[in-house]
Amino acid sequence: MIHVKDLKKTYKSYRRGSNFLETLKSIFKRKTDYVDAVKGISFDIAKGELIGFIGPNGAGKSTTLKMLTGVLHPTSGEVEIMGYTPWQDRKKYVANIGAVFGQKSQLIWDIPPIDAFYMNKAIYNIPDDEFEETKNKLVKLLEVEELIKKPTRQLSLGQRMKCEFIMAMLHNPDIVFLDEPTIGLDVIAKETIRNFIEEMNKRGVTFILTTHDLGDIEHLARRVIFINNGEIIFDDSIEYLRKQLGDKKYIKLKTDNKMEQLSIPGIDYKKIISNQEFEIELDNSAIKLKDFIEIINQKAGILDMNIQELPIESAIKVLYGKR
Amino acid sequence: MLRTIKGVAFATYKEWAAYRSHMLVSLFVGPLYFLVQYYIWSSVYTGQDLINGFSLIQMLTYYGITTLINYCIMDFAGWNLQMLIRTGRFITFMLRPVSHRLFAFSQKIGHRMLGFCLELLPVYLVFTIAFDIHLIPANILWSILSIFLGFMMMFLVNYCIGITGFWLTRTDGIRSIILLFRNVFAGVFIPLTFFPELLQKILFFLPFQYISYVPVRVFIGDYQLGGMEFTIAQIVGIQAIYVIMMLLLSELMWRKGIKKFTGVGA
Amino acid sequence: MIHAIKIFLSGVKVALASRMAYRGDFIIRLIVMLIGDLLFPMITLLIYQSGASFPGWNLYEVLLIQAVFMIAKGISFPFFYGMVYNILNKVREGTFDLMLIKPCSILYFSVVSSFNIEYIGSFFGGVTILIYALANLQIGISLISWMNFLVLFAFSILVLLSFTLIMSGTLFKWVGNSRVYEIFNAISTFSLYPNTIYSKAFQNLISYIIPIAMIAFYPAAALLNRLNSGVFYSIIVCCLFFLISRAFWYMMLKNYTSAGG
Repeated sequence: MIHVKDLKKTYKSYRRGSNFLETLKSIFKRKTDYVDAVKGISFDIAKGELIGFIGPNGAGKSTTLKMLTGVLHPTSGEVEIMGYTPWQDRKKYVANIGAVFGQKSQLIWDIPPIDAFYMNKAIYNIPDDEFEETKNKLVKLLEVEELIKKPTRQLSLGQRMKCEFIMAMLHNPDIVFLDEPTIGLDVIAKETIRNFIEEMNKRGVTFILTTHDLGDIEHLARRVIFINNGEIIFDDSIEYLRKQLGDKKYIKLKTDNKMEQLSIPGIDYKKIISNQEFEIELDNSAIKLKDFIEIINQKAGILDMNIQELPIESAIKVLYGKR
Repeated sequence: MLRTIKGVAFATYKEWAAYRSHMLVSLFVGPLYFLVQYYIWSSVYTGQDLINGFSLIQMLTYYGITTLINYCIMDFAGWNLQMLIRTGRFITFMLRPVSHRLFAFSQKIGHRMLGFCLELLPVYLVFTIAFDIHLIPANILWSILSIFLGFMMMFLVNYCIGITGFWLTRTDGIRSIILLFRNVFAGVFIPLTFFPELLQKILFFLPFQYISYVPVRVFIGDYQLGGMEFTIAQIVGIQAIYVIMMLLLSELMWRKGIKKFTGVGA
Repeated sequence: MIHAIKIFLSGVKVALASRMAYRGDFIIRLIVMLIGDLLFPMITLLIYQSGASFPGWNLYEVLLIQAVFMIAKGISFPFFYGMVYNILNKVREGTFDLMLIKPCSILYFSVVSSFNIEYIGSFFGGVTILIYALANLQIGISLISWMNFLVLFAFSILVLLSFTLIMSGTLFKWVGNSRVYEIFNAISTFSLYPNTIYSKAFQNLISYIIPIAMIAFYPAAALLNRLNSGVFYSIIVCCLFFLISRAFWYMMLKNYTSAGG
């Protein structure tokens, strides 16, 4: 459905002086820098996928997303989405996509969302019955029946974000691009939005999202593309990302009696809360879980134990480290 | 205090240097407006040597100097202040150990330093070379003093308009009417002697003429308004008194405004 | 076509609803617009009252030119002039990107979503001055003169649209520069006075190269029966000027989408 090959984007920027004279000089003569924001990336995305783009600030995520939505023209490379090249067949192409940008509102500040919906109805030329059907379906799913009649400026951020999603999906797009859709939201609102995305994805909508919120990635994305310095460093499933770290477990442990710190290979203390309570990273290839339990039981007796997968942060940190 | 002014002024200078191309617009707009005036008055003066006591050369000099002095003294202090109040960002200034008025004044100095380099000097050259209008002050010291007082007056008037933001929260409209009257009554569009005699007498007592009209007349070397004539020393003295009065007024308004601001609790 | 009208109507509806959220401010803005426009007639009046004049033109003829300028602005600006501010703001905030993901012409959508009724203040001021000037001129204006006026008035609006395109196009590159308004205000001032006050070369410049004179001087001259044959060339120049400014707008847009705000 989406085919990207060797996509590149280079920006120009200008340098400024740091003292009075240099600043004055820079008025007449500017030094140009070239920044490679995206350095030739390639990937394919199939229909119905839910993909998360992650990476540090300034890694090239937003630039990539802008090129995929046809907002930005690339320096070189190919993009083909549903048979269109976004920046060439813009009008036809964007009729089939939707987008939600967490920090840029499509709603109109001083009027109720419902009026903004009607504007989109005109712009996308949606037939009356189809519009009503889609609108009612989305409004019900997000439980905003009453809110959409209030002026947008009176809505909370979470309520507004729900309306942004409706705005972006009224025309039944096949692909929806999300740029940090949960930024600044509280836990409940995040969950509603995530459930909504999941539900729409089940109904066949392809989602491509960028985020800094690893919760979004853990809950939603089945495939993760990690971008750093304009290059794709990782492109695979979350499970595979975890495996990259080796066969490790994260163990929270409480013991009956006091216990000295162990210095056995494969045991890495992450947190020592007291001399009876620890958080440990266990490397299964160095020490078997069974053996570990036995040792603890002998030394101090297990009161409580909680075994988890490594948090995704650790995996991400490893990727960050690969810069 | 001087260190504060210097620090803030330079930071502002650098900040605005990024928008230098915005300032260079003056290089185009200033001479263009002057060209309009040039054509208007050249045409109006055919068959007449004096209009309201101005000869053609004096009239063109008037507009030329008005343009240049405006580059020395203009600012957005009022607009900035009311914007800070309206968005609530003003609160950060309450936490700083420097008064906002001094801060804004330092900003203006930095901003105008850049304006001097990018607006005044180039436009002065255009006037001299392209229009052959030679703008030389009658008395350089009195002119500098009067322009400086005009600089203060402009700042204080704008600042007072900005302070009204404490009471009038969403009324940019009212403020833009006041700003328009400020320019008209300061003599930016036409010398004040063109107004009806009675209005001239009223204008003498309003603060606006001290922004631009007085410095311009001091630059030319003679002053008159509403049938009154003063020597240069006298009118600059009166200008100084008005600046002090305006300073007191701004202080008074400021105290009332702050009370209102903290009372409401923002 | 029907699609375009639907978009237009929804744009106007949204713009009106947004504006009416602050009615008090809206009325004040209307007055501000009016007072700002009255500045030039006021200066003209002061000049004539001081016993001076533009040679060959009486006060009411000059006021008529200035009234036509206000009417042209008042009628056309609500429909497109808001685009300058809209693009200024959206490019600065980065929300212009959202315009690019709508499936309709970007230029059309920019125009339609910028409808701003408050410019109509100029229209009322202009009509008032026009009536005042006509009443004092005491000349009979033939039907032909009115027809000529209407035709030239249409071209006046075309020129204003062209300037709007140039200003807003500039803002794709010149991010956040609100001084483009000053440039336009300065340039358009040349249309507020009788053409004859300018040098011959300058008259040619504002008639046949950048058709500023068409904004107010030529339509007003039609009413006063003071047109010269040069106006035909000026009409052609207006059309060219429009095509060039439209091309310029698209070029700047293309530049924006390849440079990335």
